[in-house]
Amino acid sequence: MATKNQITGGGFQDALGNPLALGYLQFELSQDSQVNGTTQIAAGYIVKINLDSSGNISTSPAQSVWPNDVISPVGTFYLVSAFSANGQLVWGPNAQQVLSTPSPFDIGVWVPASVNTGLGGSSSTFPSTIGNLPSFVNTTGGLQDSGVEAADVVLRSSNNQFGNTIQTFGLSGSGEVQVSNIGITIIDPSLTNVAAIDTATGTGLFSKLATSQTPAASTTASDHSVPIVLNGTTYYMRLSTTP
Amino acid sequence: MARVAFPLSVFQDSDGNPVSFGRVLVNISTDVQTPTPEHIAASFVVGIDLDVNGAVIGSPLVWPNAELTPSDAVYVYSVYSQVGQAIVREASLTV
Repeated sequence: MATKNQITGGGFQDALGNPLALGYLQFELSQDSQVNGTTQIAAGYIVKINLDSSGNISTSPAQSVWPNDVISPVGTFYLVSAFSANGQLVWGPNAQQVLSTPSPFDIGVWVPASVNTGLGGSSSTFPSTIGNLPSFVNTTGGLQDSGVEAADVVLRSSNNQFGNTIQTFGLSGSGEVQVSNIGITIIDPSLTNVAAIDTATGTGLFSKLATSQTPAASTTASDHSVPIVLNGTTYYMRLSTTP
Repeated sequence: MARVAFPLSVFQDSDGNPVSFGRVLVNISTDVQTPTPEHIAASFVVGIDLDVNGAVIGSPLVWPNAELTPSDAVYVYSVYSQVGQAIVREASLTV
């Protein structure tokens, strides 16, 4: 049975090393979750973690939270903020994860802006199919309705759902990553390649758009045949006066 | 992996007069992790007092930027006179 893990350390300080003495952290789980198959964890219940006079997490009493790697669904994270003793927000909010090992878990190892929010955990469908996403997913605290340009996006598929095991989108210039509350769409600058990902299921769709076509009509007997070249392949559309 | 001396030691105004009993406010541009490993809070602003000659009082230490993660963070500092007039406003500093 999974248990909560004690969190320690942190060493929160200012630029000159003065500790965030007697400040506190707030932990907000990214979404409602479940642990051990029966216990519900309410995301809206913000947890307050006290810091000691050295800016470290107080150990008396021990402060413990549910590790993200033992709760469902996979890929959750905590939005963590640090406040001074008088309530001023000084750090974060940053997306971070607490793991079940080591125990206790030293939060000093956290690297700000390093957790991919909205992509799920390492064992879920998403990270196995998508990687190297631009930093916007690290820092905004979730998906948002805005277009974001990125330099490069690499999609990896374990079940051929993008039609390729690896598909790279070089997006510098007019390429775009569009994120909405239902999915992610990636369009390359030539408007040739498009990938769409359903964020709820992880289902991906990769396709090439028809960008070059050569319509030219010809006639065969009583029918008209219109060849159309799409991405190098010729298709024929027949027009006939015969029902 | 060690902190080093804050590289700015004496402050003057544009006329060359010392910023007597002024104050330097310093923070880091973004939340960062130190090598120890600990956390520097970007919005946790710290003050450095200046003496009559505009010299830094004490020996404040800072982490070299290259040892911080993310490494693109910079220090941001502002200098105020004794009466609170801004002499330098939000200048960037890489150590």
